[in-house]
Amino acid sequence: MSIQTHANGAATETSPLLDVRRLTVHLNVRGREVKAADGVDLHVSAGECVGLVGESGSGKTMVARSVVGLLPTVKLKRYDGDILLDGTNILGLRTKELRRARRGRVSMIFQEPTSYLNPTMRVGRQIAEALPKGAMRGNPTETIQGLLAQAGLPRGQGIERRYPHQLSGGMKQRAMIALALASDPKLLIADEPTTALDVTVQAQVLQTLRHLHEERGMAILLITHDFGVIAEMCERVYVMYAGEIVESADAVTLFEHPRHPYTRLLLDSLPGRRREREGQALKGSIPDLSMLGKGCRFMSRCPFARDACREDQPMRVRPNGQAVRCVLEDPDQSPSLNGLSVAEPGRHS
Amino acid sequence: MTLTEPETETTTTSQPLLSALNVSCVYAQAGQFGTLSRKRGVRAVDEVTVDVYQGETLAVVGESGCGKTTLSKLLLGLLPPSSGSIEYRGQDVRKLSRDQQQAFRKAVQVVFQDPLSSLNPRKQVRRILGDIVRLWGGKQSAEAINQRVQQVLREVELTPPRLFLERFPHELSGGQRQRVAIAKAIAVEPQLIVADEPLSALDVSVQGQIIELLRRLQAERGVGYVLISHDLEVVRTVADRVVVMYLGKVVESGSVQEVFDAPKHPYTRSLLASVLRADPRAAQERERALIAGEVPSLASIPTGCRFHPRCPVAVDHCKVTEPDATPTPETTHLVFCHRADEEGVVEQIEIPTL
Repeated sequence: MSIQTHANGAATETSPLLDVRRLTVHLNVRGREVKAADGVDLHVSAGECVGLVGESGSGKTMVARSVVGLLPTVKLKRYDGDILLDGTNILGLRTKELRRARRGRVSMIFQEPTSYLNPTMRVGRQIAEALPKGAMRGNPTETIQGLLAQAGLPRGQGIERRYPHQLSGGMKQRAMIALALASDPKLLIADEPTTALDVTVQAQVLQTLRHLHEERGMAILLITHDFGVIAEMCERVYVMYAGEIVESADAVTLFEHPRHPYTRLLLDSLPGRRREREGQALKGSIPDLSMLGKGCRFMSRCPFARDACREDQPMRVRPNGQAVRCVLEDPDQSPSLNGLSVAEPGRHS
Repeated sequence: MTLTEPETETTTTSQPLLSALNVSCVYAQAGQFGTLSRKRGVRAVDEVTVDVYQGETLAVVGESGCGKTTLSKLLLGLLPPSSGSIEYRGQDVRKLSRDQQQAFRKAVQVVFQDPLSSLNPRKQVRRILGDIVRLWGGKQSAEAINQRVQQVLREVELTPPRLFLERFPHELSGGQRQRVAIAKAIAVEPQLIVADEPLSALDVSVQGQIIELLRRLQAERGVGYVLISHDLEVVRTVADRVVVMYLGKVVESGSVQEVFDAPKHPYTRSLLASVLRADPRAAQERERALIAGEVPSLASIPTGCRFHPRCPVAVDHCKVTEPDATPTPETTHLVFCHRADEEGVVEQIEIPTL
């Protein structure tokens, strides 16, 4: 279900809808400069559902916010790199130009819809505000109800006349989705969209997102810490650690043959997987981003750390498209992955 | 502080360490003129009976608003039950003598979800733990307290302790904070720790570490847990017995194997069907049996079986009569559903193997 090729998805393989190149975000945190994202390369093709997974502090939200121009202005020091949205570089655009560049191309939904919906305005009016000017002619109520229905809030319940506080958590997130759909975006950025919801409601909301993805051919960039959500939704996955992308692959490959030690250990620490094989728990925690030096950022927690890890590692792309930022992928470093509980070394050159 | 020996023969058959007997909790609700009334109140927990035995892990699962946190507070004696009773070693906790009350408070400790709000932000770790050691350990020298605090820190793997003693809670990471909260609980050598969503605020890798820690403490000290959680995968990994709650009622209870491998209640099955597994192939192959709607408000509880408006196999009878379950000697598996015993009915709700 989740992995499907779309007619419009295959055609635009050459130029991705979203192309993030060498994105680096420098933040000012308590007087110290911190690179919340460091040299992030990421792309999303039209009609594709891509996951960006990482623990808290990995910088995944910073990447998402950069794409829609929602970086925290107070903390932001500077940024480098390019973000091409449908061919236009949007990084550094002024508000007005940015709005024009975003409209009809990208929308975003968040973890807590409560803080992003206006509490003093009825849901319908908030959606009307986001509709393109042309859509307001004719029968806007019909359009609004249609959008709510697409987001899984059926007509005839008068949802559009309610205020956000009159909706349950799941309904609020659906109202948020309707709001995001108002500009008919090609790309939806969903930052932890179901983290605050109960499991049953989470499954319902994800199903709605998947329908939107499949039926409208809308691309999704899904940011989450939950591998279950990734497995359910995504075709391709990026794994982030301490501001860097450390591994990317299609979903099946990533879950079945993870190569970066971080990905492997993280997957092994999932309770469901630990029962099957006695995985070792991932020790320690993410390093302080303001104290980073050269070299692999996972080194201090990695059971395979060696001297060569003190050098910065490039992303090494394997024949199957899997890209890994680890010295073990270097053909010169004799690869010994023994001892890792995922017993699949794969075909190694 | 002597630890009662966790003898396996006695644990399963003897009297429970802590039980809730037919316990209800009604929160008063503000009426028209601002008067509080329990008549119109919200029944957060409704006639729940639960036993916790020495050294076992009992998990309470359910969605938000199902009453699991209220149940944990009742078990801890932090809330007075509106009806029914909480018994510690067979004695009503409201009728304990002063000494027994002390023993109960010491034996049953708590770990909360958010350690940042349950640890005093103005105290350093040394004081947070030192105060507890002093309070429960009787008269002792400052050096003895210091030694004990360091020992407890080592036990929760915050080593070397000197790195953590002078830190304030905000100077610790989420996982370290939760370890301090656990240290606080084990410092008094309890027999039972009631943990309310102890993992849900933590990252996956840190969750794994805390699960290991809880398990090790259980193996070494025979401490039991009441684990309140919404994460079914975690529960499956750590629990011995499970209680599934919905809108203040227990809908199914039994051993982990009974409840997870052969769930009989439509709600339990729907919950399990909603769990997302970290397996993209399985996700592609399977159509989920999703239940419609969300948990209704406790203020307007449906008649009959509370789950009937969302239940895919509900019949007219379910709307009128509340289901009951009677424990039999052969099984500990209790299912509160009219249709659980009908052939091939609840099995319509397909579940993945968890």
